[in-house]
Amino acid sequence: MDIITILLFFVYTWGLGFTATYFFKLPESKLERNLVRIAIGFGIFPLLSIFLNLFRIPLDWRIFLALSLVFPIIILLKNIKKIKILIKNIKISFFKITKSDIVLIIVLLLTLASLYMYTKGAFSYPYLEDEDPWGHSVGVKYVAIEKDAYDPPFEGPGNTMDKKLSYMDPYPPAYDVLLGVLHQTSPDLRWVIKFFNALIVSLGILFFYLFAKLFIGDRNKALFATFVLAAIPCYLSHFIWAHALVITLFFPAMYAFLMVKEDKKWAIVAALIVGSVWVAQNLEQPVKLTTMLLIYIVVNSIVYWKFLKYESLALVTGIFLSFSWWGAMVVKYGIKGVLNYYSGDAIINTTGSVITTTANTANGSIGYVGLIFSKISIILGFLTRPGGSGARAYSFNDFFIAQGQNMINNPIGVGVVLSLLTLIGLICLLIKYKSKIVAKENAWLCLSLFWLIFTFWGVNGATFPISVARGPFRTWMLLAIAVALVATEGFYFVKNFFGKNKILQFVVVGVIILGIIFTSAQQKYELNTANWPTSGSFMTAQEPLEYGALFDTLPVNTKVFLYSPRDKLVIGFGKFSCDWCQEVISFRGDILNKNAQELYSFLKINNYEYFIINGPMDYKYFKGPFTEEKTKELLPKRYEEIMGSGLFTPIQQVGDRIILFKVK
Amino acid sequence: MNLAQKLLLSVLYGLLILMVIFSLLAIKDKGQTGYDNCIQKKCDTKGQEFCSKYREIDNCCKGAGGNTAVSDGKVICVFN
Repeated sequence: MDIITILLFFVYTWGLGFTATYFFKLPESKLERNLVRIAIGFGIFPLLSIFLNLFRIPLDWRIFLALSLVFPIIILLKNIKKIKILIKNIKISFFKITKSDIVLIIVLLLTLASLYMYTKGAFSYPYLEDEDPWGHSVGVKYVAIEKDAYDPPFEGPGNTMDKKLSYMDPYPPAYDVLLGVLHQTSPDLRWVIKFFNALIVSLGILFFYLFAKLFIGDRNKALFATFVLAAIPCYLSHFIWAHALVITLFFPAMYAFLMVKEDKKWAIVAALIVGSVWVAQNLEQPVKLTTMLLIYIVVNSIVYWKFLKYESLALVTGIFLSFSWWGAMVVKYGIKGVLNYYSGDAIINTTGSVITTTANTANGSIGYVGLIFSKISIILGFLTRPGGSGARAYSFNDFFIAQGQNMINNPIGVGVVLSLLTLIGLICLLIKYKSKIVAKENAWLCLSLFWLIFTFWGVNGATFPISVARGPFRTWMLLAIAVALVATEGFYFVKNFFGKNKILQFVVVGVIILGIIFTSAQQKYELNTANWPTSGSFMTAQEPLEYGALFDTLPVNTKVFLYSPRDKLVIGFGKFSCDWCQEVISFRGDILNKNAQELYSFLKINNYEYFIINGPMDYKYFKGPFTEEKTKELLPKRYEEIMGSGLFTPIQQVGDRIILFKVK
Repeated sequence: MNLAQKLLLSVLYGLLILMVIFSLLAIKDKGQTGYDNCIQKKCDTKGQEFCSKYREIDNCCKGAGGNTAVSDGKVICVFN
């Protein structure tokens, strides 16, 4: 089923892309045209899933398949008479490989090389890394089973918002929906999320080329820029999180924006993909990507001295379309609830104090103006706050020298040769073009410089006095895009500098490419194929591997119940426990007070086949809700009851900590 | 070149100059003083418990160009 699911992924994306762009201008090359369709379909899928969910249409793979294929089949039937001619043309054109196709084939090889690297790393250990991927695994499983992207109503204190399905609502769920739909046709969740996350990140390399070719207007430069993006460490790693989707969506979005210049109808596609961006990840990356799109509109409007109204309309419409999700969240949780979720009281509380202050001012009109400015400054402050778990000041070495040991979710660093090429590119652009950098023919260069400024500034949010983007360390992946474009210009300056001596030029180009491989790509490969650390739920460094081996002895999707409230571990290892089910939540709320018979009855009623205890882990997670004293008293008693009840058969024991029981 | 393009060019140059100035100013944030300032700022804004977390100490330490080490059971920042 795995191969079928991979095929289905391309059928969904190609079909949706075909449908969305059928009446629009597309590239001449057949290969490129079909790859563009895949990119556009991929860009539309997230918003489509949100719309289906809004209208309570189940998120079922058969519905996505039908929606992807209905229009292509109509077109096929309409043109049935031409099929023979079409097949004949395919046969003839199959042997006609153009220069453009050769470059595309090289890009496809780069994409496959990336996929090899990412999957090699992702499958080099049996567990999911860090914390986010375990959380996503629960969301993916929920979508696959329930075919829904809204949280179920939870009962009980503390379960009013987002305690169980942290990446479902209000966090926009498009990433989990995409993987959840794919999981419906491929039973092993662990394989699905590891493979398809790696595939999405790798497809970003291909989609970047499609965008860069159009943006730069030179396929060779676009190829080099794509090589840079594939090699640069600070672009996406194989870490499983929604950023993999949202950043990859930027390239189809930019492709659509660039195509608006040639065919206004592309604004519709651009709007749909912007909508997808806004439902793919919580506000942080959508705001940054929208800023980059806004920079594109402003810079091009000035450079071409013509307001890009269709592009602007696409941007606004796209954000409006995303209210198919955000509107539903406001209805469900209220505006305060949603703002509170994202700002942790910051906006609500501060706004409250501003309202009080305004009410006390003598001049009402100045008061309201003040209120508006205060609100804007609070929101801007919130959107550009340089916080986040990995945010710190970066030094010259952090940029210049790429490290194989790095942050796993968002690696940092550019590398020596790429840093030099970027600097050369930046300096030469300013010296060579001077004021002509804002001329029409150099629009892409001017825009690349503005993107470089924005993203470099964003990365340095914790260093510079003014921060322009939220989450500095999660801006590195955007800096990689700008660096790929500017470094390409730097490379061509160096290459052309030795233009008179072709042999020397060849040697220099070779040295640069090897330099990039050894100072950037090698470190990226090292990081992405290393053994990554995992969840803090485990009690020892060896435990995730032990659990991996233990779970691998059971068939996929077997129902396994951990005594500790860590159902996400069971799901992440490809087995099943209904983390979001009310009966599980309620039972866990009082689990330490349940005797062995009650535990057994619960497990049987809920069809659990296996049960796992882990002394240190159980103690760690019970002492909080049940107090240390009570846990010390009751936990050994419960273990004795379980062992002596005859209701559970010990199957495997790992050390003196973990025991796997079969529920009789 | 029209007025808007001139303005765009000025903004581009202005932002680049600011970037260079800010980058140069950031040099003073390195070393022990930079580390102490970073920790102090975190303690002032988010409290003692927050600024005592290993993650925050590590972020401040790496940002100041140092490496974390353990001395007398406490996480410290060491500079070469």
